[in-house]
Amino acid sequence: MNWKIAICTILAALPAIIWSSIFLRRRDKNFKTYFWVFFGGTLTVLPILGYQYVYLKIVGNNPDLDFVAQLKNVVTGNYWIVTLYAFVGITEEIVKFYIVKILDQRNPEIIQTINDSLKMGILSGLGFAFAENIIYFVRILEAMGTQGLIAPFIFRSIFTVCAHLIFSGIFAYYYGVSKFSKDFIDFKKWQGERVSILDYDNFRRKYVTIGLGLSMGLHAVFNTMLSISLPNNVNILFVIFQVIFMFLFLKYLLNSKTGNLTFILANKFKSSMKAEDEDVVLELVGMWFKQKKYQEVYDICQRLERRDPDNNVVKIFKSKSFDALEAAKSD
Amino acid sequence: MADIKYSISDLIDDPSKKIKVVILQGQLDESNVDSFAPKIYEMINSMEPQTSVIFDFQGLTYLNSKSIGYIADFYNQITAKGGKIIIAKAANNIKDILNVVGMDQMIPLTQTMEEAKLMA
Repeated sequence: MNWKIAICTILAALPAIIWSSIFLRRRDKNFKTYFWVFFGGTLTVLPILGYQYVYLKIVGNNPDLDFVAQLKNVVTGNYWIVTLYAFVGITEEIVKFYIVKILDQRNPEIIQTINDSLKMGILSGLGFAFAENIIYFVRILEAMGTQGLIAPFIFRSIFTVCAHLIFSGIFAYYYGVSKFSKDFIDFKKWQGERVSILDYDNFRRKYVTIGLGLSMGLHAVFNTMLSISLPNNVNILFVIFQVIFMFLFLKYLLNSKTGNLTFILANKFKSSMKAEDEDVVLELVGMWFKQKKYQEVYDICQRLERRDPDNNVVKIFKSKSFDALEAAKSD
Repeated sequence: MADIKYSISDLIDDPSKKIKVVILQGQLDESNVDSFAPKIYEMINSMEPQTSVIFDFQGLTYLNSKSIGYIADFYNQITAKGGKIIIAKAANNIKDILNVVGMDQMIPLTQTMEEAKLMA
């Protein structure tokens, strides 16, 4: 038994190493942090195992309490499978989300860019996929032997692991946006939008909900598609295209200037401009941004950044206009 | 409503140059900039080609973002007619704003009227 676990651990580690090297090429945070988030991710399989353990413990001793059997009478056939896999997917995303959230609450200085958050999500997802792969590989190895393991190993290493890191990467991206809600609200305010004090909290909640909802929804669809069988393996093709599309989306988020901009959590440097004069400049920047004068906005922000290096709103305007200019170039 | 007073005159010191001087006093803000700007557009439309415009900002204590947008547009229209635009005697805070906005790279800012006349 032990050698099987050892082999499966090595097999599960391979895709984790390869995928992490694809997404985390730049080591801008220390390895220790990466390791702990990855480790935290591996622990997220515990709630699912916990469900199973508690269920077997309760039902094993009291078959009358088999609530799953009772539920199966109500939700039957494919609906049951869909419900079960959707539930598992949603639970996994919530647990992975909490890994990133707890890390950020304890060490807020670690996530200083949206992409820091995204990378932490990716690591948490990789940790989960690593642990889940060990369990799956051991079960398959025991049931079907080495030959039976080849195809699941290839599919899970490429698509399942990638899907997991993307799901958690997506929620972590939105978590990152929500973390810097004040700056993003101010960014809107300078473009002339009416902003109330409630908007700051609403913005935060909205983005956490979008991120978690997206990742849970995509995960539920992914699990459901894998759990059903359609003619000509249409469900498998769907999953493959889903993963490819999500991969490209995540790469786009990682490469965007806005994703990479560093937010200052505490103002170290005071602006060398008078507040009311800086407000005039920001008002102009907002106005021109709205008029899509991105080059002018970018140039002004560069100069303003020299005068007020810790102003996050200036950074957002600068990076958004940079992204818009780059997008215009590629069109 | 903030107060803005302005006067537009022709400078006849140097007959070889066509120069208009716009003297501003008060504050240019949201409440008055949209009613002030058409007067300048009117002046630009009616002036002869190669006419330069000197904005005397000595009495101007504040200008808002929209005003800067208008100044950028005045610059485009005046230079399109072959003229120049110069801002003279602006207060330090206004110069600071124009500097960060990058307006000083297009429009010369001068300390005195004499310098402005030489540049026109």
